[in-house]
Amino acid sequence: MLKVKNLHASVDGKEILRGIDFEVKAGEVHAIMGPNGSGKSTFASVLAGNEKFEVTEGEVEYDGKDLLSMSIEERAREGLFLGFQYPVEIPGVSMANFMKIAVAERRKAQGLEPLSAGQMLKYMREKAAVVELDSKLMNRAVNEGFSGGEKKKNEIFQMAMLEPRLALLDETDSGLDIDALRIVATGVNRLRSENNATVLITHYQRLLDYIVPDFVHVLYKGRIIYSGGKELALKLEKEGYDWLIGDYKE
Amino acid sequence: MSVDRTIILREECGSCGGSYEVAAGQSLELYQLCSEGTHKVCVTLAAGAHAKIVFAAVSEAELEYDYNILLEGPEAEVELYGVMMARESGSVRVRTALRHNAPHCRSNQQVRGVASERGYGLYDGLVYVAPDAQKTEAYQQSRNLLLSPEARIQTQPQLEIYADDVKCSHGATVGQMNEEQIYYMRQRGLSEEDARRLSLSGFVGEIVAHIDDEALRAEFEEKLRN
Repeated sequence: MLKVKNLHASVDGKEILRGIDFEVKAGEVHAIMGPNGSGKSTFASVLAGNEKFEVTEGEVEYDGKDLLSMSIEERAREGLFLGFQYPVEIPGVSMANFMKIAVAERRKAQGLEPLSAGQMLKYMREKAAVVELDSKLMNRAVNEGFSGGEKKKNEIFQMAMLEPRLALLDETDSGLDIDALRIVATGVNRLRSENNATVLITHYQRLLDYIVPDFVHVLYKGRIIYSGGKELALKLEKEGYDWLIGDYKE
Repeated sequence: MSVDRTIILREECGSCGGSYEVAAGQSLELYQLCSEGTHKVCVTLAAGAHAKIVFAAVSEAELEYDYNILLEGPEAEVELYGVMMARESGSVRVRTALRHNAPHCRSNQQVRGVASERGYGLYDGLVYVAPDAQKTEAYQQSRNLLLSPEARIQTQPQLEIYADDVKCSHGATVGQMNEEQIYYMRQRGLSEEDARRLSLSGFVGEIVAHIDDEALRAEFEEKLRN
């Protein structure tokens, strides 16, 4: 589904990603871990097409297409979803209105008919229930006045609405209490299927107690320096990163 | 709360506005959406009177709104919400003079400006608090968006206070469209054009939300569609 080869990217002339190789197949869950500042969020942003970053080298193939030549919205419509670490507030724009347009674009790209107003309402209620999000929030402005937990649940709600092929969840667990974490994780697990894939970017092993990954990768200084199975996360939790990164320190 | 009088000033009001007196304990709602000319509106409030003014000042030409609001009796209250929008090479000027001449009055002004292409917008807002207008509460906020490198906005919120026991605040910002919002919406599949349109409609929509009447709100929304 996703093949990343030797990806380099910079921001303001500073190289952050220094040759990432990474592959995801349908049905898999990957976790990307690593110390602060290692490039985890940048990697997710570059895949989503954030124009702040410049790709200087490498290739990314997504469902057989050249991902790097696609616009931000083309990637989204083709099923690439990024759950934001800091979801953005959009005052004056209701969740319902925002989701109506987003879902219509996604369905158009999938060759599906648009939903009627009634169907849309029902669909929103169903998906809000998946993450125990109060459906009254649909009448409020996007993320405005939402609590930290509500913002993160709202990301997973939008993911449920858009049924992505590939979901990148950037620190979705940060700042969540244990109940919210459980709800978010349950939501993600319920959306898993053999046709889609999930990439979790996280600092903590904690999330991986609830969403069990098939592969765990360590990103350090803009490269994936180590990959393993789910047991790697436990080892990192216990022993930290020092045993891994020693050889890479400058 | 029931409204005693509603005034709607549209294009056909020409280059005049008018003077309105709100008697003690009465309420007035005044809506204005003209596109050209100079329009002077004067509202005088007696004790306990209430006025709500919502305006859209949208023009590709020359447009000026001039509001003179006099709080003459205690416990009077004014809410003023407006959007000025200067398009093409239009210039839109909004002047407000809000005079607190009596104690225990409240006023709240929220004016948003948007200038696109070579548009020019001016907000000149004075809040005056007379020496015996103690316990005045007056808030004034001006927020503005520039949508092109050649667009200009000038904002001058002013407080002139001669009483010593008052709560007053004012603020002004001039900036560009929030690119984080645009990125977020595009990541959910919206075209860049839709994202910009939505972000802008949200910015002005918070002002329009103060209109309770649905048909009138729709008329404002239509006027403000870029």
